[in-house]
Amino acid sequence: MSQSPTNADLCWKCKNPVQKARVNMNSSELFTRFRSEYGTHASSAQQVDEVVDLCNKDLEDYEAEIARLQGRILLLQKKQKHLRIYRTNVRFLSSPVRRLPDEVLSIIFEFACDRNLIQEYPWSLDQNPPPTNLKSPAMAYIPVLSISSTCSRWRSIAKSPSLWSKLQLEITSKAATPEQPDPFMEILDLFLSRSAQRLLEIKLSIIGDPQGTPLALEVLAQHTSRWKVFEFEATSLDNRRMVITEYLNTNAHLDFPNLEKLSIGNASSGVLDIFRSAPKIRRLRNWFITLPSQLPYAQLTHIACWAVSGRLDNLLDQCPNLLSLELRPSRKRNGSFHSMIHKTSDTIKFLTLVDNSATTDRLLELALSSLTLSELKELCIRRELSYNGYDAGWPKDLFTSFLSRSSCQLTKLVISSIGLSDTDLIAALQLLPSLVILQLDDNDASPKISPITSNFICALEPLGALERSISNSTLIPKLRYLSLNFSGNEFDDLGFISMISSRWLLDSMDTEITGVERIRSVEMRFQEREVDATVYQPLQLLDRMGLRVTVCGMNDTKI
Amino acid sequence: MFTLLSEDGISFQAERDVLERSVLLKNMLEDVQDSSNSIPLPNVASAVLEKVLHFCEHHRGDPLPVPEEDETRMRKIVIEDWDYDFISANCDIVFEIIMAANYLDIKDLLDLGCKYVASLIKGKSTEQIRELFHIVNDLTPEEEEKIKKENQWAEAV
Repeated sequence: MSQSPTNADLCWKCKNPVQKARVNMNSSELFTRFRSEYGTHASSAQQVDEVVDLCNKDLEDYEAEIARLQGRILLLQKKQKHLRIYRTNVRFLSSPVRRLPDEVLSIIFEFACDRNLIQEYPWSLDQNPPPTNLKSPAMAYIPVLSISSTCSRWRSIAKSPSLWSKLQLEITSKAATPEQPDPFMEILDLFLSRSAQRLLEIKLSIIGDPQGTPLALEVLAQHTSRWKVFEFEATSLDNRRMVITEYLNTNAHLDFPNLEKLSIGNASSGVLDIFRSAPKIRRLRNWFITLPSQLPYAQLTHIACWAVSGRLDNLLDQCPNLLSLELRPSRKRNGSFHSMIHKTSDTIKFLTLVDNSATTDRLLELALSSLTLSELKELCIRRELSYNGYDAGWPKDLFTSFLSRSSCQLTKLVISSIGLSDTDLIAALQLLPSLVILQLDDNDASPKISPITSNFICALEPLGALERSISNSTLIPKLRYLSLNFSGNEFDDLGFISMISSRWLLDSMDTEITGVERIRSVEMRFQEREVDATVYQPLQLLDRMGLRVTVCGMNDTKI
Repeated sequence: MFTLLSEDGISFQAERDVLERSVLLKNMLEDVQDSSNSIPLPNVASAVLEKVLHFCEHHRGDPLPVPEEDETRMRKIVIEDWDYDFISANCDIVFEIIMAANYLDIKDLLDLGCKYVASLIKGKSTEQIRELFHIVNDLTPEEEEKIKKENQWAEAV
């Protein structure tokens, strides 16, 4: 007669009967037998074997049960894993990135795909290293490919032709072998077809000694009507001559109806003539501007150049509509700008002068003494660090006479790596009451003088009522954006904090009476010092009140 | 001072020139004579609205962004230090900030959020992007095959 199992014989969880063990493990009884059953009283081998047999059978049962439970655990773990994935996928339905509308995702993708770098592969045909050292798989440098492979929605949005229209190509100088399938050309073809009719922004670099016209250039040349931006770089003059002269020049039928920006390095007059059919060209960056040429100079609004063959004033005559001019001295002693007669422009709003102090024909002095720019709004004077010329001082008198002559309402001044004293800077700023943005960088200044001193900081303090009655108005009263890059060790932190606080904490009555505007943004970068957060705590408080403050120093210290 | 009411019922006060960074609010304020009535923003949570107002406060008085003459320059990812610190400090709600900026039509904040997310995408493989944004691969086998073919060159390098 079968007996129903007691609670002790049931599984605690599933309540199914648990098989009862054959062996009753009475350890205390066994212990007693150890102490008594020996010698003539020893247990018979048969009795022991019977118990051992029962033990073996129980062990086999346990093994089987364990195997069954392990199988069950594996099954549960698998289900658990699937459930976790399912939960992640369900969560994705409401994830923040999914809630972004298509038009916002498009903006994000536009920013992400501002340049797609395609490097010819393999890069082993010559000894020259590629311009960009790829540190990750090539895919990581082609954001539009990564984006369009992510999911169906992203793929659909990434079909926008504009994402495929910005190309940076780095190619070796191997000759074209059209008979062989070239994966590099396949990817270039993909971009050209996906970009549909969108205008192209192309940056092309060719490295090494050319062995013929690169196939990529031939393919790109079939799309010159879509070129909007064409930037070309090469490592040697031979490259440039080969690419431009040998190819583009022999294809005189090419036209560039949409080309707006051309940056071409050291192109000769004849090469620039190729772009005579570029009715929309506005921006030109070239080492040497050769005049005359058939390039439509009169329509250019932005020029950056290293030198002009002929006189600088000829360039201004040829380009009467310039808004922005950037002049750099040539590396060649006799290849830079020559003296010029006084020239007046009422169109130039932005002027950048790069000073290398390498020659006695100093571009900075030449430009300041010759130009009169009545509409100038932004002036940037900076020194190229790659040159170690003589220490030419700040042309104080020329700067003063330039401003006086121009009578311009300058709103932005940038002075970088130019050695000038605090008194010279203060004197210059006294002539600029309309200045809104001031950026100073004394890093590697030559001569090694920094204008960022206590005296300068103190001069920027807004004047109080008493001081105003006996002194001139506050220095650069319209200042709203101040950016300083300081490479020294000694700095008047408290004076700086006081000056910034004074310029921020002006009330509307102060502003009305004194004409001093509240400063809006401050950037202070220390190259050789750490930032003491405790000292700069007052500026942190101002930041919370609405002033934009960035103070950073060595070892990633910042507030 | 004007009062804004977030979707979770929290009130925030701000001055007109701060609120006018938002084209939506600027248009609304033109019709509001009396500042005693609060402006409900049913699509913006208080945690996000607080950040949005912080940004607008900092950019108060800045020239409003206009379409750039040079589109190429506009699409460069250049983020000023303060803006970068602001957006990266709030990266856990960056998508909410973007959506609020889109809703309120605050172009510089929308651009900032989009640039930040774009900078996260740049330099990453497809798998890394999926992992970063918790995106599920819902591509069909046919699409996968096509992608594999397109990316063959790039993945071989």
